[in-house]
Amino acid sequence: MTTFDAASFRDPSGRLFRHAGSIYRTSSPEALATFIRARDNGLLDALTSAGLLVPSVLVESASEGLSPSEVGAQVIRQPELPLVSYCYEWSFSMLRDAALVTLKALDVCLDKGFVLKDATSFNIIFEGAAPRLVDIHSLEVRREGTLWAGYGQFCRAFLFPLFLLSYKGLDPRPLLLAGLGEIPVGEVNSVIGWRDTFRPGVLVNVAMQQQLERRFAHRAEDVNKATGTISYPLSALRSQVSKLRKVIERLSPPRGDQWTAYVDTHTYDDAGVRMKEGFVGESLEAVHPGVVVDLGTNTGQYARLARRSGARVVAVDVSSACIDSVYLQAKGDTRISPMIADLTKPTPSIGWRLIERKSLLDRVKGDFLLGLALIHHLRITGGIPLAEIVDLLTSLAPSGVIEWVGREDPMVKRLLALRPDVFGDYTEEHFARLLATRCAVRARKPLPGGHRVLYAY
Amino acid sequence: MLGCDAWIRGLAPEGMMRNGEQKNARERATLLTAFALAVWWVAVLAPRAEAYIDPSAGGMLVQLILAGTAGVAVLGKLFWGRVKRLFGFTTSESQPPRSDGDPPHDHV
Repeated sequence: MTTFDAASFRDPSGRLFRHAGSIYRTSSPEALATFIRARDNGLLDALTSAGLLVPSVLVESASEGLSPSEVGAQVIRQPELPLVSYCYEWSFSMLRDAALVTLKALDVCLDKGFVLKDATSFNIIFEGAAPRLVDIHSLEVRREGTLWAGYGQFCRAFLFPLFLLSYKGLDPRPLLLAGLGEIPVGEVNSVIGWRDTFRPGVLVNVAMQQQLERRFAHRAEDVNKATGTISYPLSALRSQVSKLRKVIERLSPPRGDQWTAYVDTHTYDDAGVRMKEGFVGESLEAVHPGVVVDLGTNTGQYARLARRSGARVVAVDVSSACIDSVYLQAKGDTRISPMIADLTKPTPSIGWRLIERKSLLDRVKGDFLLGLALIHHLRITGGIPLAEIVDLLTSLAPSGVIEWVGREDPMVKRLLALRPDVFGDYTEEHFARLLATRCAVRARKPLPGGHRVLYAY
Repeated sequence: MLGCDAWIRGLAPEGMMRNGEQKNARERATLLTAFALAVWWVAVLAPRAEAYIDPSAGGMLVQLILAGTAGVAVLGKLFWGRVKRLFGFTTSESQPPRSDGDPPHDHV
């Protein structure tokens, strides 16, 4: 019995399932014909060779060990990308590049007489730090003269959150999470002030779209009739796509935050940093992990160290500015996956029946965990009991390095300065005991200064 | 004011700009501009009661603007229907069916 992905039910063109380490997509007869046409006229090759689309091939179900009666005689096979992150876990540059991949793919489609029928951010998956279009059924033959039906969704999924970030310095992730990856034009319009209408792209894509939406949303039949009477030439659509690209390419990122300066302001000296790098390097060498989960990656110093050791790395941080910096340094590298997440309130599962888009903890697992300069933030800032923290960290990977940050550390003192000290469990002895009951501690190394200790398990 | 003159010439019928008739043309342009602004206010800016939002109407219609003259004309026609109805130039039977909510309830 084939179990289909919980998120693949909206598009009647086909459904998605996993089998033997690959992704398979079923196809309706029409979708199959469209796929074959895209393959035969060179569109798929053009998209794949440009790195815009994951490789997609048509295979016989029977030869893949699948039941043709369940999934059809032929299915489309794609490689399974190791980690799926969602738009509400992406930084500014990640969202911008995902938007640009969508527009570039659309451009290539238009060259070959095709179009993207939708433009949701869930159609894009980051293979490490390289965004790729995965939804092959989004490709559709363009009927001459028709408007781009995906434009409104492109705005809601990409353009509006980018405007909020770049023009207003507002984090769109809570809105994207609540809106299942889309922000309605009305919400953006209520944040955008009249002065912003002079900024590139705002007048037409936000202000006018909002006015037209308000006036004509209740006259869908009239709108349908009116838009059906005119011919939207290919040149107009190309110019629209090109304008959107220019607007997005010109957007400047929001300002950094306290965390991006952390590497320059942290509380240990060069000798401490070298010792820490040496210990982490040796621990990685001892385990040779396939996947490293770096929680609190900051600017990605240790994520890159793990990457150099040959591992694939999931680099997680609460700070969007930090993740932006990690992404920009790793851009194009398929083996570092940056994502924004707050462990004290991790990304929940959302959507239909609360299983459509998975939670952070359902997606992030590894062979080796890096929890450096993290534990004091979870305990003191987050208020999570120490036993819970150790439980979670050790459940994400069977081995790793966790840095203990003692009470005398200047950072811990700062965290405690304005709080009543209700953290009686926050002692190294208690931490060591908790860790030892859950896994075998392999090594312990105090760092210079005496307040921080590395534990390898 | 090249743009303004072009606007006036555009409004004036053929040959109207000859021999001191420019003043009339200007008055006509002012009147028509005022009328256009009034139409824009009635059609676009005047508040509406409907709360239902169809998520794609705005996105489709914006593209009419990008489609050039033909698209703008179609958009103008949509607005014009609304203006005509507002001033009572069309009968209620000829109005398109509303799709902004449940059908009227039968309160018996």
